[in-house]
Amino acid sequence: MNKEQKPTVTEKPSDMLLACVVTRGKGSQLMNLLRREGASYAVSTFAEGTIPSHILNMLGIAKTKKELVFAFINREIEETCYQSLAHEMKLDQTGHGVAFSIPLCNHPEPPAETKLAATFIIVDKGRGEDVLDLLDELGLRGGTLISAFGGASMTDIRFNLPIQPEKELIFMVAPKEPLPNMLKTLDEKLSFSEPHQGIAITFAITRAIGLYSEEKKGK
Amino acid sequence: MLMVSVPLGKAERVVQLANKAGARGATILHTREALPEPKSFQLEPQRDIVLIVTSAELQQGIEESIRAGFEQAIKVYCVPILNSVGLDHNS
Repeated sequence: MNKEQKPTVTEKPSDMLLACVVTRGKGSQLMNLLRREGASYAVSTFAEGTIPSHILNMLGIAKTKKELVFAFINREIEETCYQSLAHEMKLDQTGHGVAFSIPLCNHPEPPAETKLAATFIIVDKGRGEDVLDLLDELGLRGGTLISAFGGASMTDIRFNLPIQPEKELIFMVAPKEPLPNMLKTLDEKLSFSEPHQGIAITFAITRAIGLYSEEKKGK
Repeated sequence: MLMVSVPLGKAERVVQLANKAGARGATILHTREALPEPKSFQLEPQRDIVLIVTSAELQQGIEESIRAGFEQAIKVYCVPILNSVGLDHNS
């Protein structure tokens, strides 16, 4: 722990994780925007959004290309970050993307009660669709698929070639109430309690912007 | 959950260090990082983000083990978890 810390833009330690999902191509713009606002660190990765539209789903073109941005910010700049997200990236209007903040462990005031929660579901590659179908049955829509690597058993070297298990990570924001039910269903239907089947974890969200809601479906 | 950011290709080392300290697995995301000052031509170095889901007791040990295993300072963030399923089995 006595290692020298690299200089960052903000002197204060970051205590918020700001996660944003935007259309592919806008990730760099978003990262630069957040960096300018004072985020200590920002990374982006490619993801696939799942639009909750049955017609597109029937046609098999329901997947849209998205970019997921993780930025680490200090809670003091959260407000300005959200303002510029709404202003410059138009995240306050639906259809332009979503952003939400998850407090980190070193946040001084842990959130007491939050209405929303983010869910991470990690399964083997190919099973992501099953999870999404199951979530759809429960009325939870709009997950983001990210391809990832790794697992409990790490890289195996066979015939001099490293073999790394491929995973799929589903990232979703939902109201907090149906979540215990969701975890229970995942456990029952996809037997998550058995080893090597997958894991699901949830996080508290303190603030969100641009979320898709069923009421706005008519728009 | 720990989020560890390392240069591309170093993720495996993080996972080895974490497993030594008691972690049971990890997930790696390949990402691109934004540089502090945007230049006229954009350079975005690739980074690996390692997600390690672990219990609160083991978290400190894993974090220290990862930090000690690397020469340069690396970024480790910790995100608190509300609920989880699929982690309790003792295999």
